[in-house]
Amino acid sequence: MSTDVSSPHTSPPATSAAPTRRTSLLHRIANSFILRRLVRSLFVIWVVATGVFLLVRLLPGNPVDVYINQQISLYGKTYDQAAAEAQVYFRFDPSASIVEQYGGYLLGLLRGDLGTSITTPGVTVTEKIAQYLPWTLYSVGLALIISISVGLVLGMIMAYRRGGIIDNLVTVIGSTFHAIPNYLLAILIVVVGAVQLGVIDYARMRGNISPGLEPELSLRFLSDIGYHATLPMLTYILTTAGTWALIMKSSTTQVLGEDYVTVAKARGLKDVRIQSDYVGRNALLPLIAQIATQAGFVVGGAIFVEQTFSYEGVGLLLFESINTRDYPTIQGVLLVVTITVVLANLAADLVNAALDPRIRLGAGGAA
Amino acid sequence: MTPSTTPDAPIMSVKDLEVAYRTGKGTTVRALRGVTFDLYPESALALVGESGCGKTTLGSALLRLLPTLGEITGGSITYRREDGRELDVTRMRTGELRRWRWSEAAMVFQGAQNAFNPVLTIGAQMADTLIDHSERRPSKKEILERSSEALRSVRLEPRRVLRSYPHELSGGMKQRTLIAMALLLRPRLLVLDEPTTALDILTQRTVIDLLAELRVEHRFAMIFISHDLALAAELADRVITMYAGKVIETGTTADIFYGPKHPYTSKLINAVPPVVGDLPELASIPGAPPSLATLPQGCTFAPRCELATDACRAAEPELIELVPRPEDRSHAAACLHHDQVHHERKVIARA
Amino acid sequence: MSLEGSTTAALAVPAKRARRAGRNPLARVVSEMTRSVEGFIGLLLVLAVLAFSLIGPLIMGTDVPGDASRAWEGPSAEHWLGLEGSGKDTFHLLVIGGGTVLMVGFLAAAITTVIAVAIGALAGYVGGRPDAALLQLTDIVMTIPQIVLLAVVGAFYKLDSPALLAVIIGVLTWPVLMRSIRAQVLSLKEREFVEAAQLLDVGWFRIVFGEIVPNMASYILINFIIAVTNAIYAMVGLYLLGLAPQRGTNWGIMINDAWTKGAMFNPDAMPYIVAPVVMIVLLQLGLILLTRTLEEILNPRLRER
Repeated sequence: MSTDVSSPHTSPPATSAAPTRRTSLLHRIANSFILRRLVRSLFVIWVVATGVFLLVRLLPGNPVDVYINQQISLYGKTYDQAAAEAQVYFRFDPSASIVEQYGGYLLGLLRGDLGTSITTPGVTVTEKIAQYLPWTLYSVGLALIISISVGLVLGMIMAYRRGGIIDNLVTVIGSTFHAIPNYLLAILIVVVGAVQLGVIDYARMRGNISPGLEPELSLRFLSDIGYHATLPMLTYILTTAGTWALIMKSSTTQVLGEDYVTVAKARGLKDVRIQSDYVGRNALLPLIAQIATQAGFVVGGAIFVEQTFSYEGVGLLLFESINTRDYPTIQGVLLVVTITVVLANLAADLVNAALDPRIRLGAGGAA
Repeated sequence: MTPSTTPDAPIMSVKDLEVAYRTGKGTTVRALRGVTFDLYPESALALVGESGCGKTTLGSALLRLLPTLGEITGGSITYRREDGRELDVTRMRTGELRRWRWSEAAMVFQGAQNAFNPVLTIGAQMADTLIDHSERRPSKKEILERSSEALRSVRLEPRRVLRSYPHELSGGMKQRTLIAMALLLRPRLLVLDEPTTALDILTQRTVIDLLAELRVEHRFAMIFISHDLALAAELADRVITMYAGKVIETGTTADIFYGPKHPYTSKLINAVPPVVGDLPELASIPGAPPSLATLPQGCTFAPRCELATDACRAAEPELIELVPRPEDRSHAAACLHHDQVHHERKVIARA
Repeated sequence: MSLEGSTTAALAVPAKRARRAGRNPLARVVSEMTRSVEGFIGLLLVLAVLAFSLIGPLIMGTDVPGDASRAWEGPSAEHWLGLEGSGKDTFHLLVIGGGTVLMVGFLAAAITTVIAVAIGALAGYVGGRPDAALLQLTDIVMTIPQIVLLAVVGAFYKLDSPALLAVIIGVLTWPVLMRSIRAQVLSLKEREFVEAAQLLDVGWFRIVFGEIVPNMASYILINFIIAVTNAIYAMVGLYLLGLAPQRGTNWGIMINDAWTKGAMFNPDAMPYIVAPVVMIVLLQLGLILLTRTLEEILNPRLRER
């Protein structure tokens, strides 16, 4: 679904204004745009945190009450005992009022306190997430970069040579892969590639790192984690590269039809310049807007993909916590994942602003 | 600019130009069906006609800027350089074409609203033009000087415009900037497609005056395409009327406006009321221009013409020279009954 | 600079195909859909899967006997896809496995579409502060990866029945749809028939739902189909996570079985795993091809020349 970039409306009549002191005004506007986006991101994070709080605490049948009741009925603890335990795990005080609990919860978040894991007592959720998160960021991030780059190049080629062989091939293959849910593709890779065909050495490639290897800045380490990340990344890339190519193709085709490209040709500009500065830079813009949505989608798929390949990222963490009903961890992962996506959104918006002066300086303003 | 070459050498000669558009699997439509004219240096030619008559196609074809579905299927466009060398525009190779465009012949398009790259400043785009047309890269100072000069000639303030992005300029400013950019390399031929259509009346006036001035100052030949007859009357020495892809009348401005000899031209002029003065009888032309895919037999205007006879419908009439003059300023009309065309505007209300 | 507009608009290209199909709108739509190869394939796929899942069980019966001693037998003439872990005929399971998936998919999509249309149309039409607020809300909900949200909700609250599953999916996935509906409403809002209705003092409710929405019918249809693909993705995902009701059998449960019980690594189990995956992929592919063809029909400018 397209994002809402407001188009410039009819420009106001030309007045001969005095030349503005550009530098300072530019700084102010740029800053304010960044500030505005920053504030908005924080606002979103706050809303999500609150939503999670409500989800966990207030709705009937919520996990905390379930946990307390469970402890009471299964282990015969008193309410106070169970509540005290719950407090440790979920980081709240059941005797305090809802508002106080909420306040405590928020303060805890600011301190980076997400509670303690039920399944591995003694380990805070934050610690656990910190252990698993980098792997997901690495595999998903790298996959996104590769996927976008490939899609970008293919898309431009497809737009310039519409109906050509690359166009048709990529469209068909890309669409087919897009139709395959990413988790199913992961399963297929294992079943077909490893079990049936024996092409993929699953036993060696699973996991995120070879046993016994310590993180260090060496080529051996880097190539090892690259090797292990191959299967998850392959899944992400295969399911998204085609889509990127199609988006880029459609965007480039649209730009190619714009007046300024025809004028650029009329101006006798060199082809290379037209392709990069006039077509490329403009065709890129809608892509950036899509990064945020696609990133969220890929991160979501990570839950399954990581499980399939035993890749120890937050996806796997979430899956396991769901299975063991480790509510604090589930809650924590949800929050962290959302924050990551919000930050990705923010980054995409900032890049977009850097590349598109209409967003930076406000649309449709004749000074 | 050095004075132009000998007065009897046209700067551009178009002979029997044919352009067709592909409209579907294997079908084509002839948009230009044999257009011939000569343009002499420093003269101004107006191409007028209704929508779909082919004037925009002709303008684009001159610089080989037809859309992907269009192609030149016949005829020639010969451009004569200042040193006398002749180039066939229809056969130029890509590199040569690129260098020729803008430096020798430039085009100002209809609707400058979207003519500029939205992500680059005007200054950057002017620099692009200068850099890509120079053997050795010009210095920043030189770029700045030449761009500023061009902008000043269209009465815009360089300091402000050069660092602006296109969306920060108004419609009129953009149109003037586009004109400035077109003159950046001092071309000898300027093609303008509906240069004032998208603008409000006051800005139109500014642009028209500007064009007249610039023509005198830079001494370029001008072809402009318009459905606005008043504009044609003001700026042009010569007028060509087009209908259904062919030239149906050509002559000086006086010829066309005071004594048109083709019924279509006459009706075209009668369809436009003057703003001041007596109100003449207004007559719209009955019917509509024919579909280029299914042209009638013989004269294409015959179905709408009250002077039409069987002879008209038998074969498409050629241009008949009525008043011979040098430098392709003859008055000619493609009508068998040109002697019956008496152009007058019956006044039905006095001012 | 629409050069093409002036010249080719002068052509009256007769809509031969439409005429041949007659004035029956349904026949016209089908004729248009089969205009392109991919549209035809898409329609075929969807119909095939529908027939397989809805008519198949009627033919083969819903009871699948199992003989555990014959677990994981390979394919044979009698059992086309062999037998699975409890000795049941895989093909038979495949046939009865589609119904739930389709039901949940379409139900969830219907719920999502209704909510998205209601909110999107209102937001688009009313504009102003309520619109801005709704847009903010939508943006926020959209930031959370859909599947993660569903997984969390599924983990916290038990999902007992497929219908409940459909409702949860439907209720949580409307934001994306809402934005495109709203965008479409915004563009339709400026059209003359809306202005006319306003002048006639027709109430806003009737304007929005009586005038604007019907004009978007085909657009809504396309979005509905997209919603079905989303819902199926979400649903199968939830089955894989073990968060969806595990009663009965359907494609999602079959894959989940394979995944969690390690059947993935059993070479004999391949038909059992791959078959439902293939069915789901065929269904999704068919739906996607259909939407693309429908989009081309509705927006002729997208048509390849």
